[in-house]
This record gives sequence, C-alpha cells and structure tokens, in this order.
Amino acid sequence: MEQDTRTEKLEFTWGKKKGKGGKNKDVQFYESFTFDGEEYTLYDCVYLYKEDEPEPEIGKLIKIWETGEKTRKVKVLWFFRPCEISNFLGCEEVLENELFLASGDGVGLANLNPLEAIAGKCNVLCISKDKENPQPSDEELQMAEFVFRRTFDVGLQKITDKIEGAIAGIDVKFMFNRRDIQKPGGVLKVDLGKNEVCGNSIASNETVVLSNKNSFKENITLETNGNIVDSSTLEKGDLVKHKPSLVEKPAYGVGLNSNEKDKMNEKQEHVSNPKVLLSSEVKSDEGEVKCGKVHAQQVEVEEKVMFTKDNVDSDNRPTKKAKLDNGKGSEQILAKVERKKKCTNVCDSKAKNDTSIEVVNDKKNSSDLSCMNVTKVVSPNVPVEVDHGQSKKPKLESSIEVPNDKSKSSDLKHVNATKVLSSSTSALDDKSKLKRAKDSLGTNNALLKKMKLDDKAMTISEGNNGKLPKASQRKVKHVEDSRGANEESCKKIKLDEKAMAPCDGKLPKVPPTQSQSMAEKVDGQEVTRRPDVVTEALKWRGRRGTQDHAQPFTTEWKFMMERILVEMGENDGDNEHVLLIPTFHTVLEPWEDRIQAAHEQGTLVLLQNLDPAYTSAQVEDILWHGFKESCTAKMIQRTANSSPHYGQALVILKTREAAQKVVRELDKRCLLLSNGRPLVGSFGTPCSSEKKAPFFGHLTIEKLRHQNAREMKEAISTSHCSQPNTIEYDMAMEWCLQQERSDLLWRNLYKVLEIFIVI
Amino acid sequence: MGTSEAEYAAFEEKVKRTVYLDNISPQVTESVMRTALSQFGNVKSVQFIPNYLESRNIPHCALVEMENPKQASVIVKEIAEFPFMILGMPRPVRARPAVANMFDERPAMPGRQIECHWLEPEDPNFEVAKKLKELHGRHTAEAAFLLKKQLEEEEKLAKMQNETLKANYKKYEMVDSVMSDGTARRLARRYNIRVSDD
Repeated sequence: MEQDTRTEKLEFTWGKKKGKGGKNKDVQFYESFTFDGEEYTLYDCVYLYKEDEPEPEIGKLIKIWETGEKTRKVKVLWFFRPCEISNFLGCEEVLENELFLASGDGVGLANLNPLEAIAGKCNVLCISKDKENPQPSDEELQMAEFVFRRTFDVGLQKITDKIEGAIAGIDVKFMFNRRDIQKPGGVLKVDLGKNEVCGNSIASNETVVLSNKNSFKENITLETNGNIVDSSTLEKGDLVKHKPSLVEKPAYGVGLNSNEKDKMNEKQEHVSNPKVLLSSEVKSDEGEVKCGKVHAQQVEVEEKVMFTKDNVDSDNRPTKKAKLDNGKGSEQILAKVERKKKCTNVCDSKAKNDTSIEVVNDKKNSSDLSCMNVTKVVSPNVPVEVDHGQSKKPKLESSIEVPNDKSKSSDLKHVNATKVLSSSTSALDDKSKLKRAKDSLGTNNALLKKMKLDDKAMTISEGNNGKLPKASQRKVKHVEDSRGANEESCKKIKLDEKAMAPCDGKLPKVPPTQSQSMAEKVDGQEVTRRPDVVTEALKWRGRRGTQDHAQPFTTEWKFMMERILVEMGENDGDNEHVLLIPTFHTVLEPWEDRIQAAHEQGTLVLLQNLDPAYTSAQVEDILWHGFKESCTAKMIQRTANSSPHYGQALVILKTREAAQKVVRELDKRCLLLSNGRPLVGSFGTPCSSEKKAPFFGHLTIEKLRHQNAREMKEAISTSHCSQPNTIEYDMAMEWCLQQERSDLLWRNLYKVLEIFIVI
Repeated sequence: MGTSEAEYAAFEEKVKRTVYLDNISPQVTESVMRTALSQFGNVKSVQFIPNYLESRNIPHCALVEMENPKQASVIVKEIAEFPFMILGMPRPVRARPAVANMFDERPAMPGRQIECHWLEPEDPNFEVAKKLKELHGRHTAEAAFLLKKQLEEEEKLAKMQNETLKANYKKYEMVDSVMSDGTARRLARRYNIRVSDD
C-alpha cells in the first residue's frame, strides 16, 4: 500500500480516451495520461523500476487502461539490454547504447504493469534502416539515451535484423520513430509526411489536408472546373512560387494514403523524384524571370499537386472514379505540356516533359492497370511529334514492368531505373544533356541485367540502346562507356535473336545529322574535363588500380609519368587533389627483409596519423604529392588493439636524404590531410625478429614435456574446444576474462582519445 | 570507374567472409590454422597479420577467409561460446568478424579523393596542427602503454596459472603415489574404511 500513498501525492490526470473494453465494458482505454508532471502517450518508451533491480527496465507502452476497480494499468513491450541476452548475441556487434526490442511469442515479450511503476520517460530512437522508419538526425542520435535497430525473438531466442510485421499485436510502424520529433526541412520533410501515416493513421489525413492549406483547395477547384485552368493557374502560379514547400508536402501526402505498404514505399520513391525535378525547375525559372514561362511552369507544378491529390482521392474512392479523375488530369497535363513546348525553349519543355512523365508514372503505380488505360487514352489525344510518340510508348512499357518488379522484391532501384529510363528516352529525343543519356545508360544497363524482360520490354531496351549511343557518340569517351554498357547488357541477358539484331545493328550507326548540331551544343556545356595530362593521369591511375602492382612498368609508362610529373610540378596548387605517383613495385622481396634493410640504410619512415582507410597506394600518392619523393608504402594492418582513428604506414624511400627530408619537413611544417589531420613522421624501427619473447598462456607440465614433444611431432595440430569440467576450462575462462578486460580497456582508451580528436 | 566499384564490392564480400583471429601462438602456422578451422567449413585462405612495429613478440593475429559469410559467423559464434584452443592450452584464441582496414591488399574505396596540402607557419591553423601532432604523439604513447600493461597482465596470469597447474599436478601425483605405495590401504585399514572399488 505504500505505493498507493505515494501515487496519491503525485499528480495524475488521464488524457485522451480511446475506447472501452472488457467483459462489462468497464475497462476504459486511454491514449495518453499525465503522471508526475510528465505527459505520456501510447508507444512512448519508459523506464520501469523494479524492486531489487539495480538498472531500470525499459519498455514501450502499448496499452493504457483503467479497470472497473479504478486500477491503472499499462501493457509494456520490453526492450532487452544486450547484457540480458548476451547468451544469444553470439558475435553480433552491439552498439554501446543499443537495445533489442522484444518480438515473437513467449515469456518476456510484454507485461502488464501498474501504471505507477513507470519511473520516467526514456528516449529510445529507432535506427533501423527500414524505409518506413524516419531516420533520426545526428543531433537526435546524440540526445538519445538508447537506440534500437533489431529485435529479439523471445520464442525463437534469436536476434532478428528486421523489424517487420506485428509485434505483440501492434503494427511495427508504431515501433519506429515518431514524426513529431523530426524537424521540418530538407529531406526530412519526406519523413515528416511519412511518419504521420505511421504514427496515427487516422489523424494523418487531417494533418495533411491542413498543411496543404489554400493551395490545395484551389487545386481542387481547378480539378473540378477543368477549363478555367488558365485563369486560375495564373493565381496559383504565384502561390506556388511563394511556397514551394507546400507543394512538396502534398506530394508526400500521396504516399500517406495508400494503405498497402510496399506500394506506399514505391510511391514515395516516385514522388520524391519529381519533387527534386520540380524544385529545381522552379529555381531555374526564377533565375530566368521570364514571366510567361514561369507561369507556364507553375501551372505544371500545380498540375502535379493536383495529381497527387488525384492519387489521394483515387485511393479513397472506388477505382472507377479514380480512373476518371486521373484521365482528366493527365489530359490536362499533356495538353499543357504541348502548349508550353511551343512557347518555351527546348530545354524547358524537356524538363517539363520529364516531370510530367514522372507524374504519369506515379499515377500508374498508384492505381495500377487502370491508369495504364488512362495514359493510353491520353497519348493519342495529344498531337505529339513522332519522337514523342515513341518515347511515350516505352514509358508505358516500363511502367508495366513496375508492378512486376514490385511483386518480385519491391526493389526501389529497379523502379527508379525504369523511370529514369523512360524519362531519359524522351530527354534524348529532345537532344537533352548528354549526362542524362549517360545516366540512363547506366540504369538501362542495370535494368537489363537485373530483369528478365519479356519480348515487349525487349523492344524498348532495343529502342533505347539504339538511341542512346547515337547521342553519346559525340564524345569519344562516352561512346566507349556506353558501348561497353550496351555490350554488357547484351551479354548478360539472353536476348532473343530478334532483339539482338537491331541492338547490334544500331550501335555503330552514325547519328543522324539532324541531331548533330544540338548534340554538339550540349557537348560544349557538358565537357568539364579537359582532355589534358591530368585526365590521362587519371586514366593511368585507374588502370593501375585494376591491375595492381604486378603491372610491369614499361618505358612508355615511365615516360608518361615523367611528363605528368613536370605538368604537376608546374600547376601545383596548394590544395590540389593527389592524382598519381610513380611507384616501383618491381622488387618482390618479403617486406620483413626490405624493412630491415631499409632500416639499416636509414630510409625507413613511419608515417602516423593517417586515415586508417587509406590504402598503401594512396599513402604513396600522398608522399609523392607532399615531397615529390617516390617510395613504397605499406599500411600497417589493423588489429583488434589498434586505434580506429589513427592509421600507420611504413614507407621505404629511395635514399637516406629523402627519408631525412621527409621526417624533418613533417616535424617542422604541417602536411594536412583531407581529414584535417597533420601527418606525423618518424624514422621507423622495425621489431627485431631474432629476439622471440615467449608466448604466454600455453602451459605444459615439465615432466610430461618430453613425452608431449613426441606426440606433438606426430600430430599435425591440436585444436579443440574445452569442456566445462576440466581445470583447463577454468583457466580458459580466466583467459577469456582477461581478454575481455583488456578489450574493454582498449575500447575505453580509444573512446577517451576520440573525444580529444573530435575537439 | 565502374571496375573499381565492382572490385570494391567484391572486396567487401570478402571482408564478410573473413574472420579475424587473435591470441594465436606464434607457433601456429597456416596449415595448423587450416586444420583447426576446417571443422567449421572450408577455409579459403589464411593470412597472418604481420607485426612490424611492436618490439615485442605479441600474440599473432590472422585473417581467415571462409567460403561464405555464414561459415565465418559460425566460427565467431562458436569461438565466443566455447574457449577454442589451437596448439596449446589453456589460452583460447579469440575470433571476430574482420574489418576492411585489417586487410593488406585492399582496393581503394571508390569515389574517395585524397587531398593534402602544406600548412605554412603563418597560417592560423598551423598552431592547431602542431597541437594535433602532439596529441597524436601522446595518444600513441598511451596506447603503447596500455599494450605493455596488457602484456604484463597476460604474463602475470600465465604465471599464476602455471603455479596452479603445478600445484594441481603435484596433488594428483601425491594421490597417485599414496595409492600405489599402499599408504592409503594401510590408513584405511586402520580407520576401518573401505577404499577399494571392488
């Protein structure tokens, strides 16, 4: 009863009611309550103190209610501390403040507790990479007391990496982070929208609508009126201009309302793409400040908003109606695209085209097959150029594939790939930037590789393959790339003969003269790299990387290097990227010997304070860049005890003077590396291999040694797991303890040191 | 640079297949390692991490590449659960998943560019950089000290265990001798206790 008296003193009020339950309908469920000045809501994480437990338990509130007898209860889904389940952890790496959410069925999943047992709120963040989980920001991670990303199945007694399905009858989306902690801004907005769905699905509709405010309403009117588009868009154009962010939000709203999970993900991916385009468009337009165009484009923006709205509707209404709406919307859009194309320059229309296409695609995904009908209806309606007709067709096809894809693995990349593909086909037709072509090539390639396309799909890829190189042949290099890609794709898929032939046939074709001038123009904008020595050097470096050190260095190569060196020396900026250095890996003696020899000659230098991720070749590069000294370097391999922050490398220089110079210079001046740390150098002293200190820990009994020695010779090796009833096992345990202890020491040391480094 | 990315991806796969083992006796050779670990799966390669710097002959470490990541994780799990000894008792080896930086020949991470530039003494950051250098020196000294300490601890533990082992052995020898030279039987007769198993 002590507890009761205590709680009476504490302030307590119920919050939002939820519903009634129980046999006699005398149990009142709640969504929130205030206890001891702190407001708790459902799915909050809390500390619960138990008697005789030093550490408080941590759990998630999944049910709150008051019984007929006026006792307040909470159902708590438990989190496990790693130490509580250490037996099942095995080799899993555990973050320092990581918890494991209970899942599965069995004892220890959840408990009923008196509400008064709650000791306080606990800040637990979900760091699962799940798409539905809004990723926490760095600051939030800093503030979080605990994090979790995995679950512990209490039934199977197993760690599960994925958080999915339902836990204790609660959909996992409630286990993820809540959106209200997210800050609006940048990419986070995506999460913002998404979270609203996750958290309280009922409320989400309201909030979205609220956030959209006026712009949305006007869109609705636009939608209904249809023909008054022109006048209303002008107003709206301004509106959108003022709040591009508003436009973004509805875009996410689309995802919100689709209830099917994977569909939602897909869509969000889709939506995000047009958004990027959209925002960039708006920006570019503002830069141009051509009123007419601005308006035109903003109409487009509006359209998109409307479209998303359509989607929202389509999910709520019966599909028939959705079809209708979508049909109308897409008609308008396409018509507008056409109109705009006439009044704006190629570039703009292209961009618009892309976006609109993407919207169409989105829609297709959202309402599946019905939408395909829509687009089919649309395309004949619009008087498009031949090219566009073509480009739209592949688009259609590619979107057909999307559902397939989805069902297969809901791999977003595929979907994106198809989309980029579709958009870029049109882009190509418009003689768009080469970069796009390149991108699409890559994706195209990936797509081809990954999907088993049916015949229909093949025709698209065929078309693309034909078209893409056409544009990119302007650039020698790109042609190389693209051809490689195409060939690869051809190789990888088992193409039908039919598909194969046109693919190959088209590749070497000379581009039509019509597109040449445009393509050339694009070329002028695109080429940022000069085909000078630097790029050559880059190439060389690339080659060296792939062929490794075994490559014999020809005289040609050396000559090349010399030239590059001269070049580098001339325009050696202070902050220039390290591009290359000549290395001489011809010597193939074992490193121990070489180090020893170098030490004797005084050419061995130990470099410290490197980034541990550097490779030996990169260290050589750095030294070349800093001192113009060629050398052979060897990164010291990390072990369990070495610092995770400091990398070390042994470097053998050509001469003693060079080594002295390096050490002197590094001492007097500071060579700052890209991570902002100065390089530290000293003469290296390798360990002398002669003096072998004994290895501690392997014991033998003196008297038995002779006997053992003979046995040892006979046996190739002995290895065994110790059984827990021997003295050996006890001693092994002592060693394990020792190992753990020193491990902890190392970790703590490096943690302390890390603080210094960060400061 | 498509190739280097593919290369790096392949390398990352390799890292996942690999187990890092330490607390290994210097006497352990590659073939010993192979036989010892072949009970867990197919050993693809064994590479000992050479120790160039530490003046002492600290316990060896090795990277053992298995056929697939699952075998690697099984090794880590098994060895964490039961003390596993290779070529000697009672100090067990320890296994962990390998990390990219442990590898000797590793491809550069694609898309990373290294920059470096000299900082002149008049630069305001020069002093900071100097301090950083000092800091680094201190940190390495601290790490070296810890390593020294750890080795000392290990030595101490080994000595202690050696004592216990000796004592234990002596005990058993004594029991043996008491049994064999008839002392036990005589005493038993005197105290009227049955000793024989029959």
